[in-house]
Amino acid sequence: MTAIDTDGLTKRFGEDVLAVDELDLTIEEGEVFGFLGPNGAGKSTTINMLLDLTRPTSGSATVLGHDIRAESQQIRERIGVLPEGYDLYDRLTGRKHLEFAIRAKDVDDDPDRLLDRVGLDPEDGDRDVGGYSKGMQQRLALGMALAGDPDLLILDEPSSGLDPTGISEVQEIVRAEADRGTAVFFSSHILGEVEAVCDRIGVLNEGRLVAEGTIDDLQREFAGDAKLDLTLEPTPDGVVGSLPDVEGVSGATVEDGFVRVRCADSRAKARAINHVEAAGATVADIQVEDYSLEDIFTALTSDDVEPPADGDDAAADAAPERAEVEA
Amino acid sequence: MTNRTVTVARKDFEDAVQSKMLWSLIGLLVFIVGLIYFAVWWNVDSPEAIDIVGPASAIMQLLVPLVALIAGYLSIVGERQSGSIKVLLSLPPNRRDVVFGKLLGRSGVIVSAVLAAFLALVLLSLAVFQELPIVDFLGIAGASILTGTAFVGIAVGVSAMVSSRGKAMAGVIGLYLVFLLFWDLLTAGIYRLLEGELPAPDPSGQWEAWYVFLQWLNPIEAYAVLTDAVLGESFGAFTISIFAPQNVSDSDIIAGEVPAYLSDPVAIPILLVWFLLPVVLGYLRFRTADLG
Repeated sequence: MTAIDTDGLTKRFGEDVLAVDELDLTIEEGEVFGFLGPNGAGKSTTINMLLDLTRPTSGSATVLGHDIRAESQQIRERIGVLPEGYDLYDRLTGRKHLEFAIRAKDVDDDPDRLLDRVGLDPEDGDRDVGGYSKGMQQRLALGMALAGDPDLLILDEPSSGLDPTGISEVQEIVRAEADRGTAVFFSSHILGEVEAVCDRIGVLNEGRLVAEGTIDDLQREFAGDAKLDLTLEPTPDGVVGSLPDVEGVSGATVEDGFVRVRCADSRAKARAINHVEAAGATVADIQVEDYSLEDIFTALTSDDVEPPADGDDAAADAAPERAEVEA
Repeated sequence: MTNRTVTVARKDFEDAVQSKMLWSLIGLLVFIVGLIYFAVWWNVDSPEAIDIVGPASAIMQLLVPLVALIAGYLSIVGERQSGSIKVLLSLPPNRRDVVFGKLLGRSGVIVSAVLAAFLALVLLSLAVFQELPIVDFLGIAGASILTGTAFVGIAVGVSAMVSSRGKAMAGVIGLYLVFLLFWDLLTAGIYRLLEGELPAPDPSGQWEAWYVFLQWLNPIEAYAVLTDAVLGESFGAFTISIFAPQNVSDSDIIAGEVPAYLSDPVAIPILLVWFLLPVVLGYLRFRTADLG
């Protein structure tokens, strides 16, 4: 059974704002899916639709096989949610919050186990939440989500308000849950977080899914060739022409004072250098331009930043979609 | 009603019990009851415990609705604006559980507040007069609880219906003023629409029964009908009446035979309707509200 399946899910606010545009997503059971996008991309709106807090304008979706509109109750009995922009009850203790979550889910769980799980001391559990820091509130809310071992965790920006230790703890919890077979839908605007824990990533920009796949897929599909600029002394005859024969090198050109080698995979760079040295050249200077996933993400989700690869895949694939959204 | 409704109600009550506002409201009720007590004791020649009951009941008529409205008006919209409703509705409770859980939780609050005020009244009565008009006290406490929960229903209904705290406050203040000041104008308007003239008594000073019933529909009047029945006197309500008779609990003002719908116990179902109807209307609105 699929954890989440959306079909043309669309949300309009008024006439002008298209928050989510024909979203088609499938997240398998046990999968950790990173839902990546800048603030305002429509991530929370999507999650709010899955939780029946906001109703779709069109399209449909199921969570754990249940329709999000007709069977929201059954969905919420089996999932754990860390919402975005939430608030807790200042006058109640942490433990009361967890007891409430346990009772509301009608499960048999132990508040102390949950406190421990999210790194809160038992003494913290006895304090009013009004005195909690943002990070502690976030841990407690995560603890409420974990109550009763849900089949699916929906985490909306779970790292907001957390310090680096807290962030890595959240990531550990997500990994542990994934190992237990829990599917995780992890929304974030920070690539690094998603990269660290997710099997698969979907990139959302201005309401549209602009890329989807494993990290390797995305790298392959969007990163394009790395550029290796070599200053050679001297440049032996025929060496530039023979470079494309090296495995992984997709092209080589003579530029103003250097040779530009395009490498389709990163190991090809070393082979290219070995090749020119074998041909009798001395490499006087090396400049490498590599495209990290971060560059890809930036290219996919921004309007004014130049895409990294000169008119390469990333920009070519992403740009027309953005143009449509704007129009 | 489901377990989930009870779970929401319980959490809401626990939350409210920690609230300073609740305790100041209870303190206010108890303080004013005590004040009335000593004012009567000071001013009445050779006072008895029973002399206290009328004034205490009268002041409850204004205070209990006010306290109930304050206790309830943020119940739902407050969570909606802070975002805690997202946590609540991500858990299994659905919107109906939230609305009716809030109704129960806040009703628990107002019942506690009224009981605290009456406990103070009982203790004062025993201390000062060494006697306790128990039937009168219980009757008025019962009427206060019914009226208090009716106004909680009104407040929770408003809270479910609106999208901001400001609107909720405007809504409950507006309704309180309608019940206190404008019910008379409203019912006079209805009378004029139906009869083509403004309401007036017949030559013997009596009124048409259905028009008197319209006054009874005002929850503050319904409270007065109940307490007057308990006390066997006609204190009436503190509402402003330009057209309507001042004391609608007095059956002598009704022309002809007194119909069954104007027997005193009818005030109880009237208050129960106020307890439930606004919440049902509020829920119908809240059910489809966008809470993202």
